[in-house]
Amino acid sequence: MLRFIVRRLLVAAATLVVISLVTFGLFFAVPSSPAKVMCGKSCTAEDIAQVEARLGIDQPLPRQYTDFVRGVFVGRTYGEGDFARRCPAPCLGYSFRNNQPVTEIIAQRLPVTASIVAGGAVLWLLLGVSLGMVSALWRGTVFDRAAIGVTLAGASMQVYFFGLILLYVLVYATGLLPFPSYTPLTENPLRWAAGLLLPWMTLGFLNSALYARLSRAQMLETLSEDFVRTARAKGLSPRQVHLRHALRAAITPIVTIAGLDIGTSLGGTFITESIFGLQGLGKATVEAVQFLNLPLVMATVLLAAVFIVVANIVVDVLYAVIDPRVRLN
Amino acid sequence: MRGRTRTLTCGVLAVALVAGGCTRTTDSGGGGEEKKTKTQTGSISYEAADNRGPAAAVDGATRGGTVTVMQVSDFEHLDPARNYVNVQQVTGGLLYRALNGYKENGSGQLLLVGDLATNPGKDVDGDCKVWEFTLRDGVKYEDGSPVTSRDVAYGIGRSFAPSLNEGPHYIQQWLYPGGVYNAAYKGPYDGGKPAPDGITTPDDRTIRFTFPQPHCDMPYAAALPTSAPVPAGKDTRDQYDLRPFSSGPYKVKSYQRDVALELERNPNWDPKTDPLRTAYPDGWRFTFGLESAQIAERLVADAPADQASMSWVDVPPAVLPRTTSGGVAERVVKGPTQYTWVLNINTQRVTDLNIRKALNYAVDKDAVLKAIGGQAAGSPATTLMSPTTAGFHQYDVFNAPISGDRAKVAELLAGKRPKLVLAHSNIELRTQQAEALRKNLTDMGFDIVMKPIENSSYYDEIGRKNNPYDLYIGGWGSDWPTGSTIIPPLYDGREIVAEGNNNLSYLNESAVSAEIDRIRKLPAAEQDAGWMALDEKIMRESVPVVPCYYDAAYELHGSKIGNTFLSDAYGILQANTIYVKQ
Amino acid sequence: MSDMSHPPSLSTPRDPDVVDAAVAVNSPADVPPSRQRREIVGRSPNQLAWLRLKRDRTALVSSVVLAVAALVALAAPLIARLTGIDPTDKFVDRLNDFGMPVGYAGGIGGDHLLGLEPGSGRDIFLQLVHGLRTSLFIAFASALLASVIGVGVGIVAGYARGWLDSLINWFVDVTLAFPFLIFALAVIPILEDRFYTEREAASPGFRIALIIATFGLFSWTYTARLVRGQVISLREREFVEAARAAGAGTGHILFRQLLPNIWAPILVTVSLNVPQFIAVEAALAFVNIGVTEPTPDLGRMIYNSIGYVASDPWYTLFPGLTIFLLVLAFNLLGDALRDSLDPRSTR
Repeated sequence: MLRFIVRRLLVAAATLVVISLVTFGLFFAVPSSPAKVMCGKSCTAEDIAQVEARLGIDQPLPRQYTDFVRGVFVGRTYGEGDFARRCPAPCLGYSFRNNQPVTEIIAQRLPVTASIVAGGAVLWLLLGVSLGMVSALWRGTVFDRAAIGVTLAGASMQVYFFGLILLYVLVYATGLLPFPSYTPLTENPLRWAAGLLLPWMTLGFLNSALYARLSRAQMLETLSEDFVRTARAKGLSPRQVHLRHALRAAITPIVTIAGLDIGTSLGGTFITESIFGLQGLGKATVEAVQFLNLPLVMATVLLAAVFIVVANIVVDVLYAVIDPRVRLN
Repeated sequence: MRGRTRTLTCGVLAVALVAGGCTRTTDSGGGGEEKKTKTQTGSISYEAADNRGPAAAVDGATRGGTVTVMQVSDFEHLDPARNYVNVQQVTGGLLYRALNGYKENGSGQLLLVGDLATNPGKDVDGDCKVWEFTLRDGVKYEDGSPVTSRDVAYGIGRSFAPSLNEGPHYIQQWLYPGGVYNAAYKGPYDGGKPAPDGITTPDDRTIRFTFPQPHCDMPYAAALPTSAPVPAGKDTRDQYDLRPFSSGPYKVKSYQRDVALELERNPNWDPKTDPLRTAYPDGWRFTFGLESAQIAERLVADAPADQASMSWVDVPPAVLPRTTSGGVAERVVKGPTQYTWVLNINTQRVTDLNIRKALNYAVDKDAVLKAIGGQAAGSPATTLMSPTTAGFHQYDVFNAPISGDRAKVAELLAGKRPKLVLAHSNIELRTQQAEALRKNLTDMGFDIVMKPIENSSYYDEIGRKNNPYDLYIGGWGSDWPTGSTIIPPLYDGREIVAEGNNNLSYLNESAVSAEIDRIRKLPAAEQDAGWMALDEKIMRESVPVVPCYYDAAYELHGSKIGNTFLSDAYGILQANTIYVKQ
Repeated sequence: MSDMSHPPSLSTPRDPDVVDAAVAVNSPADVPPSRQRREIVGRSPNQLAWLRLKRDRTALVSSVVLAVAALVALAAPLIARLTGIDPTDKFVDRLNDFGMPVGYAGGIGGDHLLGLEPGSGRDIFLQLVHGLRTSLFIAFASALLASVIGVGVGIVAGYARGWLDSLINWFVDVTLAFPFLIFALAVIPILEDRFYTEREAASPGFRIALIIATFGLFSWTYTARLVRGQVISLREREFVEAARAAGAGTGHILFRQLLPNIWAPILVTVSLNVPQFIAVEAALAFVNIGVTEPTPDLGRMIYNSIGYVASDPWYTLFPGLTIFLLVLAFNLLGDALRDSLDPRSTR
């Protein structure tokens, strides 16, 4: 188990290095210079050179990259003299547009995205998995047929469309819900939940459709397996068979996909954030690209990659814990 | 079996369909719009009554509450040296006070009075070369220390710094005429003097400007934020943007870039020293990152949480029809602004005068306007200056029908099909507008290539002298309501530099430059007519642009915001005397 | 993830039962013997699947819907000629002072079957028909590209074993961990600047090609993993052994022996990928990297129209309903296809 995790971590590190290199190269190729964007109007060549020196982008590309990596571990200082800005480790860069280290921006933006994803995930997992399981057990009934219909519609809907219609119906037209806003959970849990209800409902409904379809199929699959038949033959009650044996086996692939979905979403749910006017990581990243705020782009891309990579590892470990048939090696 | 789920979607949509889908849309979407354009009655007032604090109380106004301002994007700059956009200027006005300011009460009367200064400035020798301002007694910063004339001088000094170059540079250029404004003096950093040549502070309350040439517009220039005081000890240079040191009624409570800015009361602000601001609300909250449709829909809905909200973002076309019903219409603040939008023709590339004239006959101003909201967005233009400019009179050199004159275009093009590159900002509204132009000009016999430019760098790109484009839309509003802040910055070829140009047609004709010099030397009373005559002369002889439309503001506020009117000085909802209804 | 910020490879057709379906198809021995006996002997699994598909009414209906959509898309120029309206024609005189279409229900009438776009005054029907053409083309081409890359990489990985397999697996991980939207946002303008001078308009085809390439680049991973699994399970089979014993080369074994046996799950993946691409293509409009004006495009039309849901709901309804029906039909067909290929999971 330990060896497995260590090996996975090493591979993950290699993945992150490659992704950071690609991102670095990609933005080095951007035709317009971030220094020019920052410098504003009527900038002379010297002004731009000065800004470039402060950003550290006057250096050759490999040097910039090693500077970046060193900053992650020991921190770094941008510019010198009166203009010096300290960026403590782990320094993912310093955003001169915001005048703060990128990690601080992320610390402000990530909780928003995490809250959206957390609530949404609870909703879609609970709703999706239970709907799927029940409809598998009650296969062929009116309930099953209705569930199939609803989930198919849900799976064919897009977040930008469904979210907007919810917004019109529940907020603009009737005022049943407030326009989404973010209040930190630690500040006021009730307002936190009330402000995020709409994105949760949107993500919850749309994704639960996918999860319901998946869990129904998985459950049907499991119910026809030999070990379930064995359990039945042993004389276990249907309840025991379903919950202790079938569910446990059926849920394994769902955990995998949920883990990856959550990991991916944590990196930013841009469309959801922009539809509901929430200032999460996804919006920060897209805006950063548009403003050529490269340190922030770099950091968010890496962070998104970290989430996915970590989710992969967690899922693999969970797999082994849940499903006795799987052994890590 | 599975098809029944379709009814779910239609059912949800049906709610919206009932709301707006089954009524007939008629020609007058605006609901009986009055098509008036008003000329600003701007004047400089030395009357003691106008210049005295406190500002007149607003009938029925109450103190307290917090105003929320919902915006699409964050302010680029709040540093007074870098503040040059109307929304930033109005916000800046809550935080710091310039020498002069505009006094408005919603009746259309616009008075320039002293803000920090006791009056709009003394023309010491009567030749507009030496200007003296006396600061009010008892104006304090947020820490209780007094505002001094040295801080005003230092504030202007730092606006010369290359790293803080985004603000207006009228005073700066007047102090150092000929050449780039900061070629000789680069601000107080890196060993520079704390104040530029020509500015003296005989005592703590007096500041004197000495210009080599006469500048009778000085009272207006002193209303721009660069003359706000910055104490040297509080100067954080490029970080000052995020937390300007307050000399106004509010100070920064918190500022999270691109997310929210919160202002709270500055306890050391004394209303008795301030003729402009009543500062009724206890605080302000600016939220950023919403889309214009979200803002407008929220303000239309007027939910309890949003009732004390407003926005400086024009209602987007999609939401306009929802603002005409009774309860909403009364919360619309609209009217003409000082901005004129033109289709700039890059005269360095399009040198054939006939093509420039043909473009003027070809552009379908109706289509260009309807793409961005029709009459709510503006009215068709034929002149360079806007009707709000002093001395304005309407003329039309070409007299083309609103959707263009095909025969004239064909005649002027004489069988040619010029290939022109039309650059546009890549946001949806501007893309729609550019596509309307492309289609229109293509039909009229031009070969149009569309080039989208990232919105954040649009003006940078077209402001490069050697930009590769032929046509691009741009808007400009005067810094004060005379032609002197429209014609010279936009059409004087001598002001063309390598980057950051305002003269976007790159018109460089000595006749125009000479005429500008002649008008500048005219007595103040004759200048207005002079600028207007030059406006027409440029359109008749040089044709550097196609005037497209006079901009109009169309903004919404919640039902709990009181004393809402359009500021004639800034073309947006005013902030100085607004209040929250309790 | 239905946030759409992510490519299909991460989002949908990741149902593991697609894999199971594939296993079932390729190994007749796995089909429960009882069922096998019931069928008439002598039919190949593919023939059986086809029979099952033909009997599925849902599949029939969704196929008809898709065929009609494809036909309409193909006939778009013909429709333009018949109506005498070009999709970019602007009927500005039929808009009111606010730029809203005059008349009932968004200007619906004899001249304009589905009314006019507010603001621009373009004919919605013609925009829709031409936009459908663009969107379907992008979706199909992307699915095809993703499959070709995925199959190629998957076969190599599955057959190679050892370090090459590990390397490819790792490469799949890297691709999956790379944020798609940021990549597209950064790379599309860069490439356009590289290939076109500042005075040339990037041809609409170039932008479309870039979108397809980006989709392909990020969406091959699922197919690759699927194919790799298949190849691993098949390569020790007798028929492969036989071919190898008969002296067949690697290429022959890969593409003549293995590939024909795994087309079915690939087909299912494609059919489930296409609707995802349609939806994500629309999402690109949100970040301004979708198909550019004046090329009509369903995705951009949806993006532009959703703001009008309260003021001109008809404008929102037509493109919205179109994309919903399209995606639903593809999903239904994909399900039906999978069911017919995997007799165990008949629903």
